[in-house]
Amino acid sequence: MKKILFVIYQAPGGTIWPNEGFRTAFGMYAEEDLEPEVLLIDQAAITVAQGTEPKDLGLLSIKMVQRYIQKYDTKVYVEKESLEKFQVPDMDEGYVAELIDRASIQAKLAEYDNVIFM
Amino acid sequence: MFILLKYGPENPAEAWKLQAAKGDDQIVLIQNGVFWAVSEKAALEGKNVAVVKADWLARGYAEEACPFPLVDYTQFVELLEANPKTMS
Repeated sequence: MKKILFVIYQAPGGTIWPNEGFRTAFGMYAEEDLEPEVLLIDQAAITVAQGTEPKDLGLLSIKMVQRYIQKYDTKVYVEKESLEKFQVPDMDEGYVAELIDRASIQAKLAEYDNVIFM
Repeated sequence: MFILLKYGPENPAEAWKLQAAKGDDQIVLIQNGVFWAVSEKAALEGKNVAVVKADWLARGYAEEACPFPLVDYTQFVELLEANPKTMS
């Protein structure tokens, strides 16, 4: 089983990258032996905020990924320091995101075969 | 782990990767990533760094000015193959 971590570091609404990061991660399920996980850092941490929804600006929805997170049981992490840096007020439970601090996630990196930044 | 930096020091992801890098990781600076070797040498101290020669020269820097080993594309591929795990 190959483990792949997708690290999303750009904001939803301003860029398409959070949608693409999740979409690419979900695409991994087409292969039997690939296990994707997603980590949100820096500006991407606002993705999990309750009020974050680019669809309100007429853009592509980000919350639509929640259906697939729950369907595939995709592991989602959000970096604690980034949540604090961007003062994310409240997390949307629909992302089932686990809060993790930088030291812990960086210690985990050796578990992954590939770490891809998007 | 093979760590590829292709953006300059202004990019938060590249700074994050560098912070995560361990002593035996192979770091390669490509494209604008070579600017780390220009303005952020301290951040690379004690790490295993190589710089893609074509990108270094293409940005007007002299070969001898590079503080890290310069590699051509063949050597770049060899470094990549020597490390099964990647961060890019």
